[in-house]
Amino acid sequence: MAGGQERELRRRIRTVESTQKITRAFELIAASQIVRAQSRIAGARPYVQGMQRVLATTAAEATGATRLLGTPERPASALLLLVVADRGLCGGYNLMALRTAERLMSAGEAEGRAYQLVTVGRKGAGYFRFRHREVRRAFTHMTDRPSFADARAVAGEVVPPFLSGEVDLVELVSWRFRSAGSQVLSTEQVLPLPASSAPAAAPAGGGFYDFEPAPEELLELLVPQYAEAVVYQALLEASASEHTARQRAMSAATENAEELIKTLRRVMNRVRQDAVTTEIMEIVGGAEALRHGAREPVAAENDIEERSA
Amino acid sequence: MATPLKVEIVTPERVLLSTEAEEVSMRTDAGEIAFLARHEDFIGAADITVVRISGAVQGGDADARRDLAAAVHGGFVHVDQDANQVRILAGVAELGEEVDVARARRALAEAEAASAAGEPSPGAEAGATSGGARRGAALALLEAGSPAAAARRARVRLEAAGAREPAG
Repeated sequence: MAGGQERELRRRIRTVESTQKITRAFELIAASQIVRAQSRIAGARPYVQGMQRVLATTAAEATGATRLLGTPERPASALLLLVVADRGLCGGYNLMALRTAERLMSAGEAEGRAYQLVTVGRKGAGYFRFRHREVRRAFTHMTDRPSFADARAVAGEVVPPFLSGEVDLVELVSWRFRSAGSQVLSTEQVLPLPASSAPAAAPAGGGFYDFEPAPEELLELLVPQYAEAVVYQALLEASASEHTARQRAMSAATENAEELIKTLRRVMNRVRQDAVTTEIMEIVGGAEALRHGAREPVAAENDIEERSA
Repeated sequence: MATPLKVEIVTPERVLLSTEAEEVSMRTDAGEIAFLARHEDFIGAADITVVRISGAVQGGDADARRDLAAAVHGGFVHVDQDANQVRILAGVAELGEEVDVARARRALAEAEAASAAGEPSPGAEAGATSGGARRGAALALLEAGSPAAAARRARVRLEAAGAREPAG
């Protein structure tokens, strides 16, 4: 009875220990990925900044191409690009992004705006398909280590509908990586290029630029490639945020397991102590009985005879 | 040279090249163009082109100048007169010395065969199977698309590598 309880506890401790091994392994993997993901973000920065400057300078000169810049007042249709993870075990990372995307779409649809959805990450496609929302295109297997080729593939899905006039607005919901300690879920406008991305960095020295081709034409070439850079950066930041979230979640899980093991051990030790105490009591009791029996063998024999009678 | 021109080739993944040089020449959508030091402000769309950099300074040693070439597969060139800098922004670019010549030759042959047969380039599949997986993905981008474009990209890569086109 008591031994059974102890065995049961021992089994539970072993289970928690093996779970802890797994969570610790995940934690270490995520931690090593964070550093790499961060260096990739840093590596992409010169390109994105360079494109921003080219774009700002060109947009300042281009007067005709209004559809590519600014925010449409009443967009009739929009496309949402959502970046989440392929896997869970990363705390609220996926769910918060999914909820935000869902809220954004239902708010838009309440205003009569039709939304199309493109997702990156298996969790996104699964979530929305389960809720019977059509997913225009679902990309998977790229958030662990996004490459520029991945970004190009994603941009190739969201930019053409805008350029062809199929949608008036392209939005992006993804996690932004501010620092190792801070990631924020953000909703931003990708296309048309928000006014804030254009005239922010006015070139020094007045800027009497030569353009080749003319600014308006150049802008049409620039926008798709700039969108690729924006998507690339978003993928990289989402990836770094995902690894950070996973590391944090797994570190908490490892700690919880440690707590649980400690509590279970305490209970188990008490149970074992009880069992030992009981056993000793029994032995002592038995020994005592035997000693009495040795002194008064006749009485003991009488006892037995009485019982069997 | 008194005021060496700063040259950068920047790709999304990294700064491919950052050096000082005497002259940079390349092709934009509007034709051939060359930049010397103190070139005036300029923004242009880069073609699929070989970028030639003359008199590049290597490793801070001003006497060790040499000429470099890079294959740039479309992008933008930004010249900033105040900074005396030419910055080339390209989605995909390679230094001549890093080009996989055998692979580029194969891509060219495939693209030419495909264009003769009037089919889309088979380069994308070929790219996925050979070489390192990540590099393969980036190069597959170059080999996909219409055969004519694929052939042009392959030629630019070979030219940047300083390799001769296969006969025929």
